[in-house]
Amino acid sequence: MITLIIGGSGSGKSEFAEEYVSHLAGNAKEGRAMLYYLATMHADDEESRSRIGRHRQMRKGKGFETIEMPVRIERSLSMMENPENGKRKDVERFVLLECLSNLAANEMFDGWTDVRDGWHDPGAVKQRVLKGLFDLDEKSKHLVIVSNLIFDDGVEYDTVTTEYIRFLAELNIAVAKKAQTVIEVVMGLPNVLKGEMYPPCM
Amino acid sequence: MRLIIGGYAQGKLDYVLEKYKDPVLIWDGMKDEELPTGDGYMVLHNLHSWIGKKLADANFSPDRITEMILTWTREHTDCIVICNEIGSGVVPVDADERAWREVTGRICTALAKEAESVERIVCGLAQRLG
Repeated sequence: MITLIIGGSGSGKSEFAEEYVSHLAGNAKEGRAMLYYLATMHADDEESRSRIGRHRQMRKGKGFETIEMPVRIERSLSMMENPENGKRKDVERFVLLECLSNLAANEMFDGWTDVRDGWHDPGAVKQRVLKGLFDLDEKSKHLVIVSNLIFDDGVEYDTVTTEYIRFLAELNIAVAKKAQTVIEVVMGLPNVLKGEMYPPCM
Repeated sequence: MRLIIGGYAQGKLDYVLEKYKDPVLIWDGMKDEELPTGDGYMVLHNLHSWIGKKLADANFSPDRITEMILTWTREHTDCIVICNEIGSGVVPVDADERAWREVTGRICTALAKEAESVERIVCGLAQRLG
């Protein structure tokens, strides 16, 4: 089951999503819940490291196991399934993916060195990214995906940026279609666009 | 008249075509210069682009543009107007860019007052605002 949580920069969507997934895991059967945090940001500069540090601090004590996976999100599945992480059959995985906008950028620009035209065609990457997400959903009790809203500023960007924005919009739409619940976070407050908050786990 | 707003590439036209009956015409403000003539249920897509083009023409003041679109929608009461939300970024330094956002916002506000419904599309999902 998927919940999509979207919002603008600084809207409080991350904190909201962490509390949301913790709350869901709280309803799992005693001792069965495993909380995973799939981190998609490349830690390659000071700002990224400081942002990652802030999010780590926020998660402290909430019991998340962090898996760093900037591309090929489906690979996190084998890490969750390895024996050290408890290959018990009765485990219920609650997975928080933060965030789809980073994953989309990492996938589109993975290995990009040529300024002119080296990026990956979003059309070719899209189906693979979606399949990775939906496979992940299948193996999870609940998958919470955080994504960005970057579509309302009216700015006409260069071709690459415009392609990226469209790519993210298409991923958001496809995930929203599959999701049971879609919540927009505004100033830390939920605006439910689809389904209901905290749907009971089947 | 119904008003549909939302950000870039949010699936607004797809939503309209799925939810409402087939229009006799899908007019595109990105390509078309003049508002369409004729009758029947029409969809005006990309109104924000048309507003931008008209503003760039010295013959059209913001008031005149507003009057043109309001008159048209009053004459075509069963139409659907789709417009991008473009006002949620940094206020641009460029005066023309500023005017485009401002006038588009004001026109949408005026249309919303007269619309039988106002829906905002985010990630392909509609939320009724009015």
